Amino acid sequence: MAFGDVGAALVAWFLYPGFLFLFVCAWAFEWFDRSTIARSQARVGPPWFQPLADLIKLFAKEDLMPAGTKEILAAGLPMLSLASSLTAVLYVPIAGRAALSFEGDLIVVLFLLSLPALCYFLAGRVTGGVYSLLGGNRSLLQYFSYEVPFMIALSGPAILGGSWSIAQIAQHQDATGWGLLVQPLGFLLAIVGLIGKLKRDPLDIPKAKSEMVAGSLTEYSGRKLALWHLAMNVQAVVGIFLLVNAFMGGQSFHHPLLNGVGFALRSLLIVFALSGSSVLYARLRIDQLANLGWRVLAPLGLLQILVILGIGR
Amino acid sequence: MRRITIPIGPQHPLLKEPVSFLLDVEGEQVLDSVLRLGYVHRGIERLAQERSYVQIVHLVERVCGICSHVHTTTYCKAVESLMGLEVPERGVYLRALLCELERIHSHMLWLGVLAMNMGFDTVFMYAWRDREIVLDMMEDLSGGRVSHAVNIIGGVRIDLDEEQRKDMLARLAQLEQQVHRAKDVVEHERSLRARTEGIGILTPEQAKQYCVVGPVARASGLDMDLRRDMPHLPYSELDFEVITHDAGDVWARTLVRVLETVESVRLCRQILENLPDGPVSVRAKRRAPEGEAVTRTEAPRGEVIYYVRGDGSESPARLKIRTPTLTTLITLPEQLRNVAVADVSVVLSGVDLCIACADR
Amino acid sequence: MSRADERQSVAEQEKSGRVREPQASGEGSALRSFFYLLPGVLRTLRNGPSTVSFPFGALELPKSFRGRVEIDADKCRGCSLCVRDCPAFALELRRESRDVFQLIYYPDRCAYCGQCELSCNFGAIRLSNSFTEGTADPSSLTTVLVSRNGKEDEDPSSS
Repeated sequence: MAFGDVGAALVAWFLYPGFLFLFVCAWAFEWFDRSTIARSQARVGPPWFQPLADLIKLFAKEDLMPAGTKEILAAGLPMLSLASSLTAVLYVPIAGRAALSFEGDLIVVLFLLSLPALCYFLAGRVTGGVYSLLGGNRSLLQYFSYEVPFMIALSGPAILGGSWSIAQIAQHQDATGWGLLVQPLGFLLAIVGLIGKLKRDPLDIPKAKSEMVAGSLTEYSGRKLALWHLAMNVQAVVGIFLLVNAFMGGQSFHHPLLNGVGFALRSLLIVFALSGSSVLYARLRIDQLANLGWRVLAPLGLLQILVILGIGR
Repeated sequence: MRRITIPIGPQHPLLKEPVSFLLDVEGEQVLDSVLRLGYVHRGIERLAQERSYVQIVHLVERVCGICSHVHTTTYCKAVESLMGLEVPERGVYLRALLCELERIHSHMLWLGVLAMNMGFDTVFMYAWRDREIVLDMMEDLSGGRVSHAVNIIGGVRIDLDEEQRKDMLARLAQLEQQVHRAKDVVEHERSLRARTEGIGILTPEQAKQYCVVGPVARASGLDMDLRRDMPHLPYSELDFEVITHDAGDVWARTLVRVLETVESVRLCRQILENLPDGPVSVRAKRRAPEGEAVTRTEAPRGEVIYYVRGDGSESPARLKIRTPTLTTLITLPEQLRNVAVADVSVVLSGVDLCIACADR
Repeated sequence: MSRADERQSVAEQEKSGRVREPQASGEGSALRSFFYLLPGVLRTLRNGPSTVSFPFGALELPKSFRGRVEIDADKCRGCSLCVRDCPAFALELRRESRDVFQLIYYPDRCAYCGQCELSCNFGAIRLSNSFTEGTADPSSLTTVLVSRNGKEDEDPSSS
């Protein structure tokens, strides 16, 4: 391997589209989200550096765990969450270019994006305590309710694009136009699935502050909690990029900078959709979510697939 | 499934004040619960025995933050009854104005807290933003947003001139618009209704057995409101409805409270438009004669009872307070039976707890 | 049911005092109920935040505001009515003779209720509009409101 290759790999890992780029995107996402929600609620919202300040503050705080917790597991779970999201981004095209790509990488990315949910559940088990256990149990229940519609919704672009590679799906939309125009239902289901995956209001049942205090993360504090927040925000960003590529893919311009701006604007659209749903709805109960997921969303997803197969290739 | 015990409180994000519920939970069902009180007990009745009647007005105001004016009103009425004083009409009207404003304040605060505990932060923020209009009105009237210190034995210490009265009416119009919007949201917004319907049911028989008062009783079909049942100025001269509902669940309580807020806005308008002229207070002596007095008033949460026994000195021999929250608190283990864990927060918020009142 | 009919039936039900079940508001209600808060949100976005950026923004206080206790020392006779009536025991009168006394105020005990202002028969003590003070040492807040030494031209006390 030539020296240039190693250098390029290092830049890709740590700068773009690696750690630094993703962390900056994660902080920007959190700021946009909190500001939109705040302004809709007649408040001002945090200053732009707030997510970074939170991270620094958490790193400086004391890290206390209940007796009997295995520290290695408790620390390893957020790292695994973060790592899986960071790995997933390698296959997601950003502004038209993916770091790596192969046929079937959509399945890999979906798997990597669902690892954090498993880690969240295990975190509840590992740290012990009533709220953590219950929060973890609920997160698993919630996972089953949203993951199936989410996967069905994301199969639609794959079928339309004729490939299981995200880069191909995105490129296919160069010719046909935005996927969401052809499959709006699938797009809606994907957004709902993303809300469930990110455990945001109205689907933040596992960490409902008024019921479960903080769900699985109740006992976390300090650096481990900082890692969790980072992991959740990076997962959000990667999920958003995935949705942009699947439903609003394609490059409108040939200039890389303009492409980047277009990509950023499309991502912002999805961020506003997520923040808007946080503002407009109350939290669902877990049984209401299970009902919704299996009786409404999954059948709608199948219907969308049938429609796609019908109007067809 | 294993049975576990979930402790709600004394520290919990759901609770505004410390109280402890130990829930016996199996799966997602609450089987039983144990209630523990006393975390905010300050011994106010005991402190009252060492202070003069004048000082106790301010002591009693701090029994509760939200219904502070009602506590001082009831206390002053009890002592005035003991001393044989009659408050002039304008003073009575001003006291009632603040009582109704406090009712609006309390119900809007409660609506926000219910929404927040359901995860509906937006309604919480909107309700509390509109509550600011009421707080500004109360601040202009009395100098304090939450602790008004308006009552003195013998009447009130504030007065409204014509310009202030017109200003209050203008703000009341603005408040009315916001309250009607809140009522629309409560009535039509689906997620709010879906989370509160059919939960925490209290049948009329159970409500009577536990001596429940206030909006919780009215939502279970009991038609009781001291403003109408115990004719006294100014309510005997004003036109208002008592809101009841049959279902007895949290949705019924929500509806009752929101509609009561609308009625209170109407009452405030009537009071401001028909304010009689005259003095606002009479001079009271420092000592009360021997005797007893019992008064009751309709607080935002129900009936408040005060008992004062005088012994001829400057200090009462005994002061006894019965607050409405105590009656609703003891129904909670009954309401929480067979409720899903997710609904515990809704049930607890639906009852509008004011633990400081209950513990004194 | 049209809007007018609905309002009329609601008014009739309201007269009886019993609460009515909210009516569905006609066609489009299902979709509207999904986005029920949206008009409110858009209105809020247009009206801006309901916050005052204190201390960088101005904060208006009404004239009835009950802040820190102030005294008009010339009017004080040392009758101690305010001391007797203070519910928080925040005022103390140290008296040696009719013309030699000190009135001391403990702001950390004060409840800002205004009873002293009501009790004073000479209009000497009153509550001001000032509230911005904070310190790590509560005893530094204690002020001597009035200090009389029995001389004709005593200093009006500092606050």
